Amino acid sequence: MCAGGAVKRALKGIAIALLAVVAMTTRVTSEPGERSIYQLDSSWVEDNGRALRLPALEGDMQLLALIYTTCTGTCPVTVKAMQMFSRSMPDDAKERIRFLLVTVDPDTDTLATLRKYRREMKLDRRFKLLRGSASSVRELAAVLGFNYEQIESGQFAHSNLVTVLDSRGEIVHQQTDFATNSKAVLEVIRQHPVER
Amino acid sequence: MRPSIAASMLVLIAIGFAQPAYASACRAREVFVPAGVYTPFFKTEGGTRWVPVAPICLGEAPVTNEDFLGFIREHPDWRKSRIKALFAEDSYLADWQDDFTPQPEAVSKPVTFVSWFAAGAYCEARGGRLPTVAEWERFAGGSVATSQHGAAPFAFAMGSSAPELANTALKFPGIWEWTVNFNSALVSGRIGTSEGADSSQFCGDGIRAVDPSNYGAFLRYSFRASLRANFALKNLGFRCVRAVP
Repeated sequence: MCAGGAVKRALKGIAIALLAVVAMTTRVTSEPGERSIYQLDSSWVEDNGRALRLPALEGDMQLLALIYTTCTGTCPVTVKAMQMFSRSMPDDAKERIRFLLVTVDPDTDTLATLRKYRREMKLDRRFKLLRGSASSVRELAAVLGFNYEQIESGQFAHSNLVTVLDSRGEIVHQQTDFATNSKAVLEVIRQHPVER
Repeated sequence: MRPSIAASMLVLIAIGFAQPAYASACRAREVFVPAGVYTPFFKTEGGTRWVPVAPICLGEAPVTNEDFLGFIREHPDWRKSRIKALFAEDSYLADWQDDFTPQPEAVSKPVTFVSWFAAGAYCEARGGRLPTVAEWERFAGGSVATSQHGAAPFAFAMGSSAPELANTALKFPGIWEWTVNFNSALVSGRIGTSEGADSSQFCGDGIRAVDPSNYGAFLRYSFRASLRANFALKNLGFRCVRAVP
């Protein structure tokens, strides 16, 4: 169930009011690369057992989503949408982007579970499935602005956020309705030539 | 050593391990918080939840500018002149005159304008960590009437000692405080990039407040959800916790 409630709208109002204050009091300037999330010093493992550190992702743009394999809500919809997107996009965009799925439930999502998920969802090699420690996932999510919480055994409440990273690992685009609207992502990919 | 003495010492050691954690295990300027239960502010479809919380040694007050200066001297990467934008936005330590100079009158006041990364790094360097939301709400979620706090506008939402900690040295000087999992609330605070309809942003919520009259909790949860890890805000500081040794 993904219904929003009055409570949530009220909270969102408060949050926006608070954020408006934040926005007025902060400036945003930085050196190129200074915002790259690849500066996070976390260790990950791919579903094939290979160790991965974030700087290894440099060079390609990435479409990133945080998921968990036992999710019965929107994660499978998001993943399916990413997969359809990856297959249907024009060739010029296709070679610029890779896909990253990071589990928020490393306890349940063992490497074997992730491998099974890859088979079931028919994900090709342009998709990486990553597993890290609970604190690594929390840190990555904190940087992305992805909120999640385990609400009962096996289920999480979570944002439906997908993120586009440029070839250096800086966030260049985020949206919460990717499953129904992937055009914006395609535009972003075309605007950012890959630097290798 | 005679076998009987050795055996009785072993028994004593075993008893020591079996004992519950005691307040004496905490350091100076820390308060012992016994094991307890946290009731999340939001019910799920399964109803109200109760989450057990382990005992902790808790900083009796938020970390001060003076404390933070000590950390900065030991860890140059966290100086305001060197910090990377990923780890703290430009307003990081905005009220300090330079890398090593907090406002003279604020030396013993809580350090603010610190990011989640900087706060976490400080706690780690001191052998601790930031509290979880569950821990924070348990030790500071005590509800206080709005009228008791005249000056700070949101002070009623910024924490007050849980009843069982009322006679401790625990202090809440009227600032927001970082938690390690601040990004766990099911509230969208993101604007500008949330182009989708409201209902598309989250899944698995069906949220309802356990106590809809708890305005302070509404504010805290939505404030946390609106944060990013590199935010450095005027009214946002932190305190550390440690596992009871």
